[in-house]
Amino acid sequence: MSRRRWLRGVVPLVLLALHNDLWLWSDDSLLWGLPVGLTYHLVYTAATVAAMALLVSFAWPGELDDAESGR
Amino acid sequence: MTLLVVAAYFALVLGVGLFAQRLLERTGEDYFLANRSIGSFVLLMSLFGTHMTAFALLGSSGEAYHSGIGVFGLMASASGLVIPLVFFFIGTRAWAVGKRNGYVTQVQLFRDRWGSDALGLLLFVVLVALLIPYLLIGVMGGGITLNQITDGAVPEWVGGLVIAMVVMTYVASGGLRSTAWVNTFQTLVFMALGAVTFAIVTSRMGGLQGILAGLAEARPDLLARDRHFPPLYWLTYTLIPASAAMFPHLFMHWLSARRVRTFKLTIVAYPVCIAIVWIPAVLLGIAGNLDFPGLVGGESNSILVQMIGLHAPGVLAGLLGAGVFAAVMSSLDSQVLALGTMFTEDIVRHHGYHDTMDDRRRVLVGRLFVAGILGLSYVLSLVTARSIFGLATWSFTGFAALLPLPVAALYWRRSTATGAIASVLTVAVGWLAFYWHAGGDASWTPGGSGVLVVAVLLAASSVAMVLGSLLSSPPSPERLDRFFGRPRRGER
Repeated sequence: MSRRRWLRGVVPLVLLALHNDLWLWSDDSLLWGLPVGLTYHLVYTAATVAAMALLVSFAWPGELDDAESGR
Repeated sequence: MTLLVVAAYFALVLGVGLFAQRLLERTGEDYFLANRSIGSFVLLMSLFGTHMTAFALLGSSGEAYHSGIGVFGLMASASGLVIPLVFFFIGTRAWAVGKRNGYVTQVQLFRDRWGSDALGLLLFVVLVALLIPYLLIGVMGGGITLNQITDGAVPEWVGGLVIAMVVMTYVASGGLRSTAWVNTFQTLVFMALGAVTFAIVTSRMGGLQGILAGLAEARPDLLARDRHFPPLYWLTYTLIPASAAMFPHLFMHWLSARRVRTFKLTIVAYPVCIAIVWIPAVLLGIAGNLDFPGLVGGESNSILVQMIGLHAPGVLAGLLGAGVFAAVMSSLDSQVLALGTMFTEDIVRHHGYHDTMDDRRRVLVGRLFVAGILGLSYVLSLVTARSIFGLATWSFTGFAALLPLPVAALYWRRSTATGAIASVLTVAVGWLAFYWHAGGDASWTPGGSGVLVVAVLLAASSVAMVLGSLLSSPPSPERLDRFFGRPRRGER
């Protein structure tokens, strides 16, 4: 499987799994001044940005760029 | 003073919109798609502004008031993942086929892909029906906001009417070009003012740590998720943001992009933009329990504006209220423009006058339809007492359940018109049945299973697409070649 296909499949699945942070479900403690469940999802959002940067850099559908330029 | 500030803001918005109108080339493609000339930053701002509605500010804070911190993860961080993926996998390809084949609407794309007028008509009806609750929350949000920031001096029916009239004016005059410019302006306004609102209100309440300490005493259940978010509900709610794949107004913005690489900034920056808007809204919604305890159901729709009214008087209240209006109007404008485009292109021009309708008449017919739909939404807003979050969830459920359509159209060459029609009918009938059975309650799950309606409908519509396609004749290679361009290597 090419790197592009691998990234396009694995990155979304990993992030989807991490979105379900069941281990923090009943935890109402604070981390960095916010409830830990909220802090986790802020960090998760930052990770999502990094993941999207990875996708557009290494898994971009180049055939669409090619089609646009007529190649 | 508050009213003066709000009136000045509306005047500014109209000014930006009407200025953009001066660049209008009076052609259909310029009115509906800004001549496919939108660059990276404006695409990000206009897509984000279009997407963030009364739901993002009033709905999120209202829901957080009742359910706590989990609202951010439930909708915001899930959207930060799912929506950029929708843009990456579907938006870019839709842009490419749209540019190649000259599409202006979604219905044109799907109708042409599968060669079916019946599908086009069915899809038009379903998309308009699903969009009306979405329009409704915008008009309701405008009415609630103006009523609250003027301490009840302006009735909600007046606020809703003013919002509808302002939007109607700049959309009717400048089309997508006005909408994109105004959205960019309004997005920057509501992001900046949202942060300012948060800073001022939390400061006047004794700081964020003081607020959290107060909540730990009064409402500790709001600081965790186990009391309000069953895990299966949480998991299946992740499907709700997939509705972005079928929003007519987002689709139209996709088609307006200058080139496919224009999407890159939007895909990377979208999660950050969502967080900037949702974090203050969710935290202020939760904090509202300290100042306004005991609100029931849809009463919490106005909690954000009530907090502004209590802690930020006069000019500041007007400015912060303008931020809320910015969020409301930046979606309403694109939604009504999309409706006008769809009606003009997919009904009047395609089924009525075909190629005998010139550009001037196309634009005029679009404007008349826009006025009619906005009027209907306004009337409905006067008789609806539901929560904004709940109404939006039902609307999004229907759109998300239509996901098999763009996926099959863009990735599965074997899919057929029969499969597409079966899929849309499954969504239409299923949605109505579930809505009736649930009594409109967005948190209802079939059989008390904890699995949201969106998951059931999406599964059913996917099965309908696959079965309907496999049981009917495959599309012709000629149609596929025309839609996709060159055939893939090894096919034929």
